Amino acid sequence: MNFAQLEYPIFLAIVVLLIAGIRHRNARKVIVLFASLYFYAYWDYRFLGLLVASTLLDWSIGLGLASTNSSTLRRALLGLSIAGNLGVLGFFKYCNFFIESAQEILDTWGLHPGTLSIVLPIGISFYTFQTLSYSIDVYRRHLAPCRSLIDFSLYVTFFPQLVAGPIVRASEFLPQLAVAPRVELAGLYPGLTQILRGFVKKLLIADHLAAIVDPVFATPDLYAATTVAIAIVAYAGQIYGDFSGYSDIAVGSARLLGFSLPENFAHPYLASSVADFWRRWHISLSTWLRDYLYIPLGGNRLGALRTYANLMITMTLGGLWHGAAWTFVAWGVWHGLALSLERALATRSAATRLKYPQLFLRTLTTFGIVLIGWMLFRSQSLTQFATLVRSLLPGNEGMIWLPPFPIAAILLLVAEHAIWASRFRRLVSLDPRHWLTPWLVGFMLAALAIFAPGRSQPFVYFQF
Amino acid sequence: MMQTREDIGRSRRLVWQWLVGFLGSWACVWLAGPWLVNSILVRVSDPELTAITLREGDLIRWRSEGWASTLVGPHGRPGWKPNQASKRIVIWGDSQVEGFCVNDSEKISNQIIRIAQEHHNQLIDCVPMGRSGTNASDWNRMLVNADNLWRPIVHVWIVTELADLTALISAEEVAMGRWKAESSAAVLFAKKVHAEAAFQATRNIVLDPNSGANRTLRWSVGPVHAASSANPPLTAQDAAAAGPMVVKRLRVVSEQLNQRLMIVYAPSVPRIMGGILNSHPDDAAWEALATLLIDSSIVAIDMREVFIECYSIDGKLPRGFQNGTPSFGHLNAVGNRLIATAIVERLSNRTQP
Repeated sequence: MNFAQLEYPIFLAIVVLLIAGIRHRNARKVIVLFASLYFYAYWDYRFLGLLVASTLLDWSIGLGLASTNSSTLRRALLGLSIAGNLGVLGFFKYCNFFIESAQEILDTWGLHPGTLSIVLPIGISFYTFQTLSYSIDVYRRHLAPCRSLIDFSLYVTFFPQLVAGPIVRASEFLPQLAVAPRVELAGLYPGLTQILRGFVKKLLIADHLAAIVDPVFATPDLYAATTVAIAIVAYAGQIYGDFSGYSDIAVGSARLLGFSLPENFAHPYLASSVADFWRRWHISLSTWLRDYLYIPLGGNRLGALRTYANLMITMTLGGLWHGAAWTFVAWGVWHGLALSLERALATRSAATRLKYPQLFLRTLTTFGIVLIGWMLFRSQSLTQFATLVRSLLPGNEGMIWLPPFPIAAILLLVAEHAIWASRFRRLVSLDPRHWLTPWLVGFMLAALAIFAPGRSQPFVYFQF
Repeated sequence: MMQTREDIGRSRRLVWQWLVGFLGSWACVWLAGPWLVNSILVRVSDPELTAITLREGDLIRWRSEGWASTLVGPHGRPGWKPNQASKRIVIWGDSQVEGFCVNDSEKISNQIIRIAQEHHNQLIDCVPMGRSGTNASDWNRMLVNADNLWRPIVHVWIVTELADLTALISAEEVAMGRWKAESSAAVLFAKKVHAEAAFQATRNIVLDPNSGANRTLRWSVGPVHAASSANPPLTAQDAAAAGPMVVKRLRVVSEQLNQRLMIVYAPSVPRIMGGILNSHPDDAAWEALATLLIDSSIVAIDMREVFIECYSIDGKLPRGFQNGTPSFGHLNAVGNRLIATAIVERLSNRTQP
C-alpha cells in the first residue's frame, strides 16, 4: 500500500482503533503483524514468501548464535545470514546490472547471456539491511537474540517502515514491544501532525516539483539553462520532500501505535559540510553504513590514506545500494571524494566556530556539491548527465519554461528551512500551544484537499 | 486529579485558539478561492438548442494549466460576444474549442473574427460550440438546432483526437447521456456562495481524477495490472475498417448542410517525448481517412505540418502552458491562432472567384 493513496489513512485508522480497543498485548501484536503482512501483500502477495523467509532465516540464526560459543560455528552462522540476505538482494537487484555491465566482455568471448525478467520486490533493500544488522548485533553480542517469532516478525515487517525505512535497529525496536503496540492520547497529536507534515511534503511539494523535474531531465537539451537549473534545484527539493515526507508519515504512523522510530532527516540542506549533510540525510542508512561497513573496514583509525579509501568504499557501496546503475555508483564516488577532500582540508585548518557569513557560504557550497550529486543520481545514464551539464552552459538556446507551482514549492521549502534555521523555529514545529499552529494546520489541510494531485507519483525510494 | 482554575482557563484558551485558527484559515482559503481554483460550472437547459449549456453571464475562471477567464455569452457559448456580421461560422469541438485555459481574446473563435478582419477586412462572427468531453456524435446531434439558430456559412469540426471523429459511428448513446445533466441545487448554492475551494476539495476526494467517475477504493491484495489507455491510438487497420463508415456518415451530414461542413485535424504534434516527436500514433489512420474525405469532397484541413513548422521555425509550441507541460495538454494561444488562420485562409480561398 502506498502512503499517498486514500486507502492508507482509512487502513491506519482501522488499525489504530483496533489496537485502542484490545486489552491483550499479544493480541495487539498479532493484529499489527497481520496488518503489516496485508500492507505488503497489497502491493504484491507473491513476494510475501520472500519476506517471511528472510524473517525466519535471521530469527533462526539469532537463536543459533545464542546457543553456541563455538567461534567457527558462530562465524558460519553469520556468514549464512550475510550470504542469505545479500544473495537475495544481489539476485533481485543487481543480477541484470552485472550481466549488462559484463555484456561487452562476454560478447568478445562469443557469449550472449541476455537478461532475466526480474521484478524488484518492494522494500527489499530496507528489510534485508534491517535483518542483517540484527544478525551482526547478535553475533557481536551487542544484542540478546529475540526468542519470540511474533516479536521478531513484527520488527521486520512493521508496516510504517517496511518498504522505505527508516532502517530500524533491533536494539531500538524490540525493547519497545514490552509495552507497544498501544494507543496513548499523548501520542496522537504528535503522530497526526507528523503525518500531516509528511503528506504536505510529499503531495504538495515533491509531487508538484516532479512536474518540472520529469520533462526537463528527460530532454534537458530542449530547455534554456535557467529552466534546467531550476529543474535541478527542484529535484533536490523533490527527493527531499518525497523521502522525508515518507519518513514523516512512517514515524507519525508508528507513533500513533505507540512506537518511536528514529528520525531520518534533519533539514539536510542546512548542512555546512558534506559530512554534516550525511548526519542529516537518510540518517538511518548513513549510520547503518557507518556502523556495519565504515568502522569494520577500519574507519579513521588506520591513517589518512586508509580513511580516504574507507570513505570511498563506503560511499560507493552506499551509492550502489540505491540502485543497479553506474550513475548511482558515480553519485557514491562523488560523495566519497567530497568527504575525503573535506577531511583533508579540515585537518589543515583550525576548527573554529563559524560566523554567519562564513557559515552561509559553507552551506551554499555544500548545497552546490549535493546538487551535482543529485544530477548524477537522477540521470538515467552518464551520457544524460553530460547532456545536463552542457545544457547548463551559457549560450544554450532552449525553451524558457518557468512553471509557477514548482517554483512556489521551491520557495516554500526555502522559507521552511530559513525559519527552521532562525529563532522562529517554534513557528514551524507545530507546537499545539502556539497561536499560529491552528492556522498552519488549517492551511495545510485545505491546501492538501485542494492542490494535492489526484493521482500521486510513486515514492522515489520505493524503487530502491 | 483536581484541575486548578488556571488549568481550566488555559484549556479554554487553547480550545478558542484552535477554533479561531481553524475557522480563520478556512475563511482565508474561502476568500482566496476564486484566485486559486477553477470556477464552479453551472449548467442550465437551453430550449432553443435543446441542450444543457453553461449559464449566460457567468465568469469562468480557469486556474489549472492556463490562468484565464471566460465570460459566458448567449446560449452558454464561452467567450462569445455576438456582432453584427452577416456571415457567421460555427466551430465545434471538445475542451480545445471551449478554450477555458486561454482568455477570451485568445480563443479560436475570437481569433477567427480578428484574423478575418485584420488580414481580409471581412466582418464575420464565430460561434464556439465546444464542450469538454464531447465528440462528433454529440456535435452531430446538435447540428440541426444550431444551424437553424445561426444559419452559418460553414460548420467547422475541430478534431484533436481521431477517436472523437470515429465516435460518430460508435458512441451515440453514451454521448447523448453526457448532455443531460443540469446543475443540482448543491452546485448552484456552492456557486452562489463562492465556495470554489470547498467544491474542488470535495471533488478531489469524491471523484476519480482520471475518469471523473465516482472514486472507488481497492482493498484486495496485489498485484494490480495496469489498465489500458482510454483512447488507444487507432491503427491503420482500424481506420481502414471504420473509415468508410465514418466518411459515409460525414457525407450524410455534409449533404444535410449543403456542403457547409469542414473538418480540421489538429492532433498533439509536435510532442516532447525523449526529444521532439513530429509523428503521432494516429498518423496512418488519419491519412487513410483523409483520402476518403477528399474522395467525398469534404473539406479537411490538416494542421500537423503547420504545428511542426511553428516549432521548428519560431520555437513555439501549439500546446502547453507555463502551469502545464510544454507540448502537452490543451491548445494555447499560439495553437489557437494557427488553427484560426488556417480556417480563415481556407474560407477566403473558397469565397474568392
